[in-house]
Amino acid sequence: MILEVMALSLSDASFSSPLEYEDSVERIAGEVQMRADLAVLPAYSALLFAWNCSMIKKVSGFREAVLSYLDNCEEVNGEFLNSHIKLAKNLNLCIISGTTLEREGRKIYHTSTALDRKGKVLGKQRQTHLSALEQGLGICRGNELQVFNTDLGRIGIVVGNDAWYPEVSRILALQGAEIICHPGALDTDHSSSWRQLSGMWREVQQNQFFCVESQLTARIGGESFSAQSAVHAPCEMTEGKSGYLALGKTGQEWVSAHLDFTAREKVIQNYPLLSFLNREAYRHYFPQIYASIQKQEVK
Amino acid sequence: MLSSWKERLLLHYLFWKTRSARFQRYLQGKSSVVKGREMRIDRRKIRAVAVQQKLELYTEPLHYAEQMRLQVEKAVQMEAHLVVFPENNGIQLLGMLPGIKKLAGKGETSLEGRTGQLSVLDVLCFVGPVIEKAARTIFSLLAAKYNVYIMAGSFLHPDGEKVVNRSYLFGPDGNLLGTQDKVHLFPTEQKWGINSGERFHVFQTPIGNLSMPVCMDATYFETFRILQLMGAEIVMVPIANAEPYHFYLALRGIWPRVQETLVYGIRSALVGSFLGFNFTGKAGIFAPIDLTPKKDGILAESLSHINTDLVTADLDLEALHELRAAHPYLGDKNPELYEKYFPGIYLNHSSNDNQDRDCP
Repeated sequence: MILEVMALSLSDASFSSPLEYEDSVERIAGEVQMRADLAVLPAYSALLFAWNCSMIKKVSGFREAVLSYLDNCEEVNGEFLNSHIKLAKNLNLCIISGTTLEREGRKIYHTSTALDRKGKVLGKQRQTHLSALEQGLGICRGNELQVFNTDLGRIGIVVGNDAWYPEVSRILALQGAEIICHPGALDTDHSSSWRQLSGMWREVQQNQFFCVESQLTARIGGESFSAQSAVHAPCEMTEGKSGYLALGKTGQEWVSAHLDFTAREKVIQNYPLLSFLNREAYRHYFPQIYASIQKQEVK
Repeated sequence: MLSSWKERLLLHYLFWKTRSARFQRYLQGKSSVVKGREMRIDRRKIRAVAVQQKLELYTEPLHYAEQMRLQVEKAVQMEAHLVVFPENNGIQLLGMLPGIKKLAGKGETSLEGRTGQLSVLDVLCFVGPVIEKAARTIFSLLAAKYNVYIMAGSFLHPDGEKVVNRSYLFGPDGNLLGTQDKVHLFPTEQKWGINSGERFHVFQTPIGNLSMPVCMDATYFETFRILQLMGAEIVMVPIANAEPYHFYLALRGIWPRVQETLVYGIRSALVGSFLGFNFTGKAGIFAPIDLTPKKDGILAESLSHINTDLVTADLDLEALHELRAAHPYLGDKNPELYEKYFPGIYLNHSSNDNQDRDCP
């Protein structure tokens, strides 16, 4: 099976209404030569949507922009979801719609939503590990990781900051994820190709799944985000063994690539990395070691 | 196997040739260019040296000892606190076995193919104890002579009924501080019948909390996460990679592990050819991206992947802890998530059983 996937960075997104937003995504989808099966949008996409569509106050700081969004997140998230339901139907496309901040009671989560080709919500994935900024904003951790069975394969989502935590990708891989979608947003000060190698590239190589990585390129409340969107695969099946099926330049509007499941299967048959995990050894340490930092055996 | 009296005679000869007193006399007789060296320790500047060692078969074990001595002496001249040798650092002593040089010289691609019923495991069980004893003696003497911490690399040898790939750490007084068995075996090692370890160790020393998982162990984040949570600051990974060198393939081991766990990483590499195995790799010293001048996660790396080399860098342990405390992305924990999935997620996933294999 071969799939066509695309990652959108939302760079140069000049929309000022939900309709214009839908038009711009449809235009990009039209530019991809092959008909895409799956599109992934970046993290903070709903915040950008609300910012550009003037659904929140034009404040001067990123933190303030997030707080303003949280004041109105139900309305924003409703509009945002409607736009993606329309897009999924119109484009006959599975969509991972970037991320929203959602409230549940007094708790706030950073969440990504997966839609099938008919615009039906397949499920949601909450971010499970927080950055320092997100902790400061009072966002809570999700504590479940799901793999969605779709006609495109088994899809998992690594939301935002979870890209730096190998536990997340490992749990998804061991649940059988074949394609990982990663909505990301790296602030420009911390963005570099080396930094990104230490993100989803690293996860793909140690778990042998595909990854569609969408990195936000935008400026919200004075905070600038920019990084390279990419489609990853195990090194052995990529040109120059680079681990990239496609790698955009910083700020490039979209990247796309074919995912060849047969080629991936061959890589795994030749070198079945997950078969050599030493589960007996891990039993001595997991999960208790996380709760007892540095109290374990230090000789 | 060899007929028993020949076998006993050969073993007796090998032990005699590698007796401790012989190494002691030889190494003590060597004058040192760094006599009376004192090791001053500043946690902001721990100097590490990673050895890239070209494989050579030594018929005479004193020549092996001399080669190791030269590397340690060069490292100490660089004012090293810690010297790190590669995986399978004892292969070179297989040169003591009659006929092995001839086999290797002919470019033979399999030991098993030339030795009839003799398997790699047979050879390791036979000569492993000799090599392990020789290595322990040599590196203990060198650590004490040069007043330096030495991670001697790893050695394949029997331990009771098992055969392990074990790395060794010596303190500057020559004492063995500890060992670490390889936990994740390479497919070839599984085929040979090597046994994997099941425990990780961290050794608290004045130059930092040290650990030394072996080669393939660095392919799996679990190794480094466990070691980090046990307090490791410096993780040494001896490697012997039998594959053509490629930048991206070589990037998949220690470098990403250092980035995800915020530790220092030291990679020592065995290079060269032996019985159809072409070992390549670059010795290197790695740090979290934010602690490297070029923001590439690399403090030092050999330019060659085929020749003998030494690389050195200074490790700032205090800066490491400052970074851990203030990292913008890393440092969070989700115990609820881990309790939900670990260790069950591993047990539910089908994997090769880690079967115990006995020494014949």
